[in-house]
Amino acid sequence: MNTASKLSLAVLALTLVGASAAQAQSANITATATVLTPLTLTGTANLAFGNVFPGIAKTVAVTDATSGRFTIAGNPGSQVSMTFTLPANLTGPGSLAIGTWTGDHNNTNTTGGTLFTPSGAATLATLDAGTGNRFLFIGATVTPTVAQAAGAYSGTITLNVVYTGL
Amino acid sequence: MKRTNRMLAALLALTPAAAVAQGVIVAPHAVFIDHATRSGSITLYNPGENPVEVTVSFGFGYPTTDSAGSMSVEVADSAPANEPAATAWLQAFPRRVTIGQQERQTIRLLASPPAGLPDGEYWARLIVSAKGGQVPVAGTPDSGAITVGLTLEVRTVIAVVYRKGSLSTGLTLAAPSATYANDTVAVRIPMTRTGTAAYVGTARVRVLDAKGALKGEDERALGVYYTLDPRVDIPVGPLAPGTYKVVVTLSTDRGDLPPKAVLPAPPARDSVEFTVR
Repeated sequence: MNTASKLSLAVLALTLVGASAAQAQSANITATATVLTPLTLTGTANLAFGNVFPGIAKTVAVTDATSGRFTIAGNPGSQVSMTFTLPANLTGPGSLAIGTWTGDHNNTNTTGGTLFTPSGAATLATLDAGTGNRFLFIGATVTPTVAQAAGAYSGTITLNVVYTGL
Repeated sequence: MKRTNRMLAALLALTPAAAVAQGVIVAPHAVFIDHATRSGSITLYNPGENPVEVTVSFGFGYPTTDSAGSMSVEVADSAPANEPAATAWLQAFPRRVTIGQQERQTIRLLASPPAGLPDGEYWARLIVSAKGGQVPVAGTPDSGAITVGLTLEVRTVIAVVYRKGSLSTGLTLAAPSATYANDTVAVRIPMTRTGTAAYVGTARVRVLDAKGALKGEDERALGVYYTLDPRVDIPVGPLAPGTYKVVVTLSTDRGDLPPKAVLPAPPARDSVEFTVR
């Protein structure tokens, strides 16, 4: 029996209990509802490189505390397709190259799951059969030039998620 | 370094990199619109502690498989001319909104189909984009420093199905195939949709030994818009030499969708044997 059905039964059972208690005083109706699992995407931690130095590349690994992190929560056991829109350069006082993207997705909120390369091509993942969760960890490498202008550089990582079953 | 850059660097340094949780809950995860009402809605909820900027748009796409049986849903801004697309005549209100912390927002979907629209099913994808509004870059407010950080944006893509008239669906299941390697049975399930609407259902795949004992199984949701030939990998562990059977059952059972949204169709069933030497 799937989660939605279980929840439906729970709602129905509660309704029937309430109906029994009120039976001596009034007429009753029975209401049922199917509770459907929503889809939740959350960016839980930005990908932060902190300070970098001109001419010295810096990598944030998926296992680092400053890796980018997403959480997907949805229908348990469902398969999702994940695609990414990633910058090739960050913007700031100038342009700063970023690349060598790395990824790890897991059913628990730890690395050590399935390694993948974030890109515009689809990566498939199955949401945990119990919790409906999938956790993503994203890393990358920035390559400042020797003449890289000082200042703050930023960009955006976009995660697209769609169920493959509909 | 300019004064503004120094101020920005100082501000950024005070922003913890991990202090973000921008996202949005989207419910339901599919919208079915009937021609009689021509409207639908979704509810967005921001569970976080910061406002979230949300943009709603439409695209077009449906599940497909490549030659290896891998699934994907490629979503384009517009649909090819020969597709039954609702993309061009669906509108969302509001299209852009900021949702405060732990607040909800209803997005209404209105359809304005062209006059004389033939009976049938018309498809679109609703794209809900959400991003936080805060500056994420952290670093030391050193006048000569280069500080680097990236923000996150999430896009939830859900199906929108517009139906007009009396519709039907079904599946033709071609012969499935099964191979065993690396303790896994790989099953291919070639399917072709019949009728006038997409087939929305569930595939159940079971691996049985010669005595009928279950060695492994898989269950997954399916949306067959035209054809689909997915590969289903079922971990079974080491198998003793012998003959095994893979049983594939397709049905329109979908516990994750409202019952009225799922068009009924007769179940389809087939099986294939493979041998481990």
